[in-house]
Amino acid sequence: MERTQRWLCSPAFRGFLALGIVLLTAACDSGSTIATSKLSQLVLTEQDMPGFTAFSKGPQVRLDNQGTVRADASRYGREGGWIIRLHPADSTKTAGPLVVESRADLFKTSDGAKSDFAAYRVLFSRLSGEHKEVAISGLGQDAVGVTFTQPGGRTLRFFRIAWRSQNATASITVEGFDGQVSQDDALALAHQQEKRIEGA
Amino acid sequence: MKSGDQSRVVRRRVGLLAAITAVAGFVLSGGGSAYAYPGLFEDDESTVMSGALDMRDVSAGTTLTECPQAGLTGNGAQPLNSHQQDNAERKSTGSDRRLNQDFSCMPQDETVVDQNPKASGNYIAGANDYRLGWGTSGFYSTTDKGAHWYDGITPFPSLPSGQNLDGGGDPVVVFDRAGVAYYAQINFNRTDDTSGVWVNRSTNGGFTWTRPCVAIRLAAPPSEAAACGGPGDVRQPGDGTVGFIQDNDKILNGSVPAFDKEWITAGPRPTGVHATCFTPLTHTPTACNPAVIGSDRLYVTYSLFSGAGSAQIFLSYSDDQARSWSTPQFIGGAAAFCAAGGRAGNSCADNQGTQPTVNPTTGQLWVGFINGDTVDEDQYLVVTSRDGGQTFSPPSRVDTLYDVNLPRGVNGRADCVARGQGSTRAVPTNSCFRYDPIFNSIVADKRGGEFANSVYVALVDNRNGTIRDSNTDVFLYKSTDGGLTWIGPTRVNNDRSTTPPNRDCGRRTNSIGGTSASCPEQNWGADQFFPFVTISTEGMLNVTFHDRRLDTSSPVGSGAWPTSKTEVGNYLVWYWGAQCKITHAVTVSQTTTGPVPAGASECTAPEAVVNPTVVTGFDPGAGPVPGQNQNSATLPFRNFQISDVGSNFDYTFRAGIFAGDYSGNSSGPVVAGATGNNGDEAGNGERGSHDVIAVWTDARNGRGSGAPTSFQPGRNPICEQSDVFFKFYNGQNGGEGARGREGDSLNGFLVAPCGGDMRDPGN
Repeated sequence: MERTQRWLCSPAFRGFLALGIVLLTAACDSGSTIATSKLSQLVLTEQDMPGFTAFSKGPQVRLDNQGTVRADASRYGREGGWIIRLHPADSTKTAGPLVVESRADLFKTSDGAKSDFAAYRVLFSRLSGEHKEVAISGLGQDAVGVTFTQPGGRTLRFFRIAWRSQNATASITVEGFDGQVSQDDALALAHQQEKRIEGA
Repeated sequence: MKSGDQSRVVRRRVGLLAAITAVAGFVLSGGGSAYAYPGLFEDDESTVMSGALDMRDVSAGTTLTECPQAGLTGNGAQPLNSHQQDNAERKSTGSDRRLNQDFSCMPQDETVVDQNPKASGNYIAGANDYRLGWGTSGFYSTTDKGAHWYDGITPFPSLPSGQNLDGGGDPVVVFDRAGVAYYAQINFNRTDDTSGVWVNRSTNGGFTWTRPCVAIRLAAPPSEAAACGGPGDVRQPGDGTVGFIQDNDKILNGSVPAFDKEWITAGPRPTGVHATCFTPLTHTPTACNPAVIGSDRLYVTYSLFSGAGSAQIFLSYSDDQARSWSTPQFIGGAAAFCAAGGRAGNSCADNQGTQPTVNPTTGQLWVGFINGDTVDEDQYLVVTSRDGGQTFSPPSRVDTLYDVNLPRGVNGRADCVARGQGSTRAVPTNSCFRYDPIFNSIVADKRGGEFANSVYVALVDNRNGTIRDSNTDVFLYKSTDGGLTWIGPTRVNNDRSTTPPNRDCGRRTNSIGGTSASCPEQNWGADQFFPFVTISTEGMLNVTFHDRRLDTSSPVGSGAWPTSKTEVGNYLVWYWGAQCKITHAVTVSQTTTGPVPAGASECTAPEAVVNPTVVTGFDPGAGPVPGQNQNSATLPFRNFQISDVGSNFDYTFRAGIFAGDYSGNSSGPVVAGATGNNGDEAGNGERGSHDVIAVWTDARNGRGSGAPTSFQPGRNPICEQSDVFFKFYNGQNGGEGARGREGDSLNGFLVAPCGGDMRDPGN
């Protein structure tokens, strides 16, 4: 028993363990890459969000990343991006998400996606005002989320979640009136999008 | 256009290092529960490209459905409209008339207009026109003073490859004194970086236009043998081509400089300056064909965005009716007040929004432009030429342009970013359309004698607002010594405009970034924007602008985008005018500041000063500056409403994020004593010799995208559109008074959903 304990605590074992984790992670990461032809399937659709209508969808354009660290359309071997923006069909609706943006970017390799995910972290760190990180689990290989408010006659609440899945990065932005939209709303949409990515 | 003291390349390198550091810090810290990093990139890309270029890769739509057609009159062919008129369309029955005659249901914006000095009933307007499904340059012509209009898209320039460059925008029209019309614009490929500046020509009042061509070289240098196209192409090689750069990698990645924001004017060649023409390839001076020498010299100015991130400004001129053009000349000059740009010799080389103007009596030329070679706030500069654009004075500084404290995504307007707006683009409170003050306006007096050195500038900025609550005002400056000494600012709009105690609250020092939550919520006043100034031959200054003052009660959380409507009122948009007459000019020439001499106070606010910049210095900080706290009751410009109804700019292009970078323009009368046709179909009464025409972008025919709907990838929601409207008003005693008021517009336009019978069900 003692020998086993010593072995488990030895630097050699910890080295093997670390190597194993790295290899396991690499194995997970080096799975099949998502083809560019699937790009449009990697974002939410109106079918995913009953009662919502898209007011913009298609390939990402320069304006979608203007003024941010993700502005270079050819960054990290990027092969393309897709985006959809939705809002409730009923403009008098005040509860729940009122504007939702879902986007995805594909890269030649998962390393490119990792770099882009790191850029997401920077982007979130630069958002105006005070932000709070939200815990994200079980979403892709890396995930980060923040929430913040925007002052006004009625305070707005935003959730932004970004994650990496193989050679793709994806993100969700959810906006609504403070107290009327929740982290769960945003997480549910993110997981719904991730299902699309996993199925692509 | 905030710019630091480093080149963009350097800033990017520093930014990259900072980004790595920030990422490392963020990751290593595990992510704080609450965190804020100082801004590092916020200023990047803040030299604002025109919307036409900025959105060149945005698809406009597929034009499959019908839509409201309010304001369209005349006896042209009419469609079989099957949609039910809604409340908004029924309310749009005032005297405003629509210029664009198309039924495409697509946007038109960025409007300009000019009157033919040889035929007073002949006007030509221009606009960005998306009727084909992407941005092009539309023309709209009348020969009966607006009773009927003919319209279309200007011919695309032809390239040596045989291609036609079909993306266009930034339209400007001008007549020369002989009545020949010119249409300047940028054209570009939508999928790569190929772009240029071209001028179309019309000799029949704007109904037929030339197709510009980039000369095809036919022999090795130094031969100038060239052609426009194949055998039988009669065009002069290079006709209409001011500048052109072909992309080098066929990718839209900024690998070559981009042409942007050109403007054109025409004026007599100054005494001693003779007509000069140029070869098509090297622009070498050559003899002119006497048959095509124009009555005026044409001047085109434009910005050229370089890979270094700044935009230099250039000028070319033409004496042969736009057939050949002089070698582009950098005109930004150099000055101590551009030292913060960090360029050799204090070059003023981070510019945008040039506008040339000529005194038609003397031929002296002035060019105004915004400059970002500053520590913090931008500045508005003017250069002048007395020799027909061959040499220029160093720039003079009109005033600081207080535009870095405008609301933007990077300082708190996340709602606009979520709707698709660029994060550094300026937006007004309650709305998300970009309204960076790229284009201001400058006009030379038309008279000689004591007025020969008088020039007027209309600027718009947010010195009376904050990053949380915009309150942009229009200010007039005048110079009576040829542009060296400036008197102002004089607030042109005379509605309530209070001054915040700290206009920079929430904004980070020397940055457009910030946190609007740090700024107290307050409605300081309504926004005015997109100003344009003209002057009649009798000295009447006519300023026109968009104005939100009449909307005082639209509720928070209302409108097409409830999450963006955060303040009561200040939402719907009308078109307004303001007038003041200059009857005499007293030369004021000094380098110091001080009160305005009594003889020079015409059309100036009592609070205006000589050389306002000297009062504040070049980096004014957040303290009081001229133009704040001016008493509305004692302002010299009489204001009047032009458009009938309030328009909802949330129903312009792409979720209300673009309504043009300038809008509205006025013209006339250009010939003293000229009379036009009597009366018009709008019932405005007999048209007199003092009539001014105003044109503007108006979204009264726009509707929400509605639901349920499914549309093709990238298309504009089918019901979003804006149109070009016009109205004549008395240029001496302006305006016909308010016709439609706030209540009418709130009921009709605050929320105007897309009718079920106008929607495309998609697939």
